[in-house]
Parts: sequence; structure tokens; C-alpha cells
Amino acid sequence: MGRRLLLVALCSFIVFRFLLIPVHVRGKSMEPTISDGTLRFCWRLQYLFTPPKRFDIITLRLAGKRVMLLKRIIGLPGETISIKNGVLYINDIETPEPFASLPSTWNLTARTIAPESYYVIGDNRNVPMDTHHFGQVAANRIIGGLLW
Amino acid sequence: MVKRSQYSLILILLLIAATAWWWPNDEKEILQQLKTLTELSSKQTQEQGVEALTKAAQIGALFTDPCQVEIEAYSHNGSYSRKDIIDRIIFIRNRPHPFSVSLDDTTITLEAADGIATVIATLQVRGLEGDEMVADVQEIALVMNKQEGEWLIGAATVVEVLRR
Repeated sequence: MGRRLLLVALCSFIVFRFLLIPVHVRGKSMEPTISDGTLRFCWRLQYLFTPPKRFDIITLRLAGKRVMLLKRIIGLPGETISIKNGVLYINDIETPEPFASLPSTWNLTARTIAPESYYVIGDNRNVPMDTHHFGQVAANRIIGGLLW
Repeated sequence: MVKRSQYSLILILLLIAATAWWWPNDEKEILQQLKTLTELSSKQTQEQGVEALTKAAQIGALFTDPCQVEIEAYSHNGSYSRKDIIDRIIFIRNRPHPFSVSLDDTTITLEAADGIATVIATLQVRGLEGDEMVADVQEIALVMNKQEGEWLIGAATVVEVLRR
């Protein structure tokens, strides 16, 4: 019994420390998709064999080992993105975002995403643009994808 | 007899490990400097003029003269004298509300032979804004230089993770 308990404890430690990281959400930048105060899990092996795709929700390392951001990828390496009156354009082509359901009047001039970088943004754009943390991030800062 | 020598060996090994653990080294000195920096930087209560000036001077003494400061988000890169740093600290500490400063997840890379160390850490500043407790978290990179036996901050960079 004791040995089984030890095994379970060890497996739990390995899984939740290195593979499936619990993330306590603080902030409203991903609402309504992800609510403030909820608990989610980051799957670290999500991008082991395949690169991140557009509209994936990813966990990226902001600082140190514990401070992370949950954001959605809207732009891939090399693409040019812009936002006009809340509407996303990828390489000048209007791109629908069904998850960004809150009204937005954001305007972002066209910019090209650097190689090995992704453009990430939150779903909640019903706030002043200056108060929202978004932008292009180096691929090596992406820790994993959101499992649920 | 064999058991006694085994115990002696274990005791010696433990003594060596304890000595290595407690022996001062550059990394410990750097961590102590950073701890001093955060303790001095935090402000718990309203400070009187002399106290604020003293603390600002003590914080300034932890930096080289001059020191490079780079804030990537604002494309700001400048050289500041110790006096400049002290003046800016006094300005920041004029805020009426208390705030706390901490440095976590510190990694230190030593080039001890050159007296240079690179420190990457998470800077967290918590304070009251109105009635709300707010926190700002940034990744910072410090270059520390050993001058006259003391590790001082020669360059500080606030790393920009998301570039618009």
C-alpha cells in the first residue's frame, strides 16, 4: 500500500511538474473564452512534433519559471498582420475570428512577424488597446498549449 | 573498528559538505546584494525626507557609476550616473502608497575570472493604486561587475517579451 502511494505521488509529481502544468488564470484578457480566476492546464508536449497553428491558445513564459501568459496566436512567422476597426487582416486578407465575440474598435497598422515568432493576442478586445498586452513573441517562449 | 572508520568517513564527508554549503562564494554574494536591493527598494510606510534620501543613496551604491539601463519596450537605452539613479529613486519613492519589490527565479551565470556575472530574474512590484492592489511583473537581465570586492549592477535591462 505504501509503495503504491509512493508511486502515485511520484507520477503525480512528474506529470504536474513537467508535463501538465496547472495555470491559475488572473486577468480578463482572454474573456469570454477563459474567465478570470479559473484553473486551466498547459500541456507541455502539445508542440513536440508539430508547430503552433493559427488560433491556438498557448501558454508562454513571461518571466522566470512561474509567470506565464495565456494568449491566442493570430499570426504565423513571416505573415503581415493588421487590425482595422476590430477586424483582423492577414496578408491583407480579412480573417474572421469567431472567438473574439466582444465588440472592438481596435486599429493596428500592418506589421510583419519575424521568423520563429508568433503574433499573440487576447480574445477580450473590448478594452482600450493600450491596456492589453499583445504582440509578437519568440517561439522559444512558448511553453505549451492549453489542454482545457 | 571497521564501523568506527565508516562513521568517521561519513562524518568527514558531512563536514566537507557543510563547509562547501556555508563557504562564501560569488554566487552567494550576488544573491545577498540582490536581497539587499529588494529590501531597500520596498517601502512599507510613508518615509520621512532623511530616511528616503538615505535609502535612495544605499540603493544607488549598489550600482556602478555609470550604469547602463535599457527598457526594451520603450526603445530606451541610456547611461546613468549614480546620482541620476538616486534622483530617480527619490522621485519614485515619493509615492504615498507602500509597495513591495521582489526578485524571484534568479539564475546567475558567472564569468568569475573577468569579475562579470549575468543575472536573469523576475522582478515583481506590488502596490496600491487607489484602493486596488496591483502587481507588475517583468523579466530583467542584470550585468554585475565585481569592483573592489563588491558585486555592483553595471547594466540593467527590462526584457520585452511581447513586441507590438
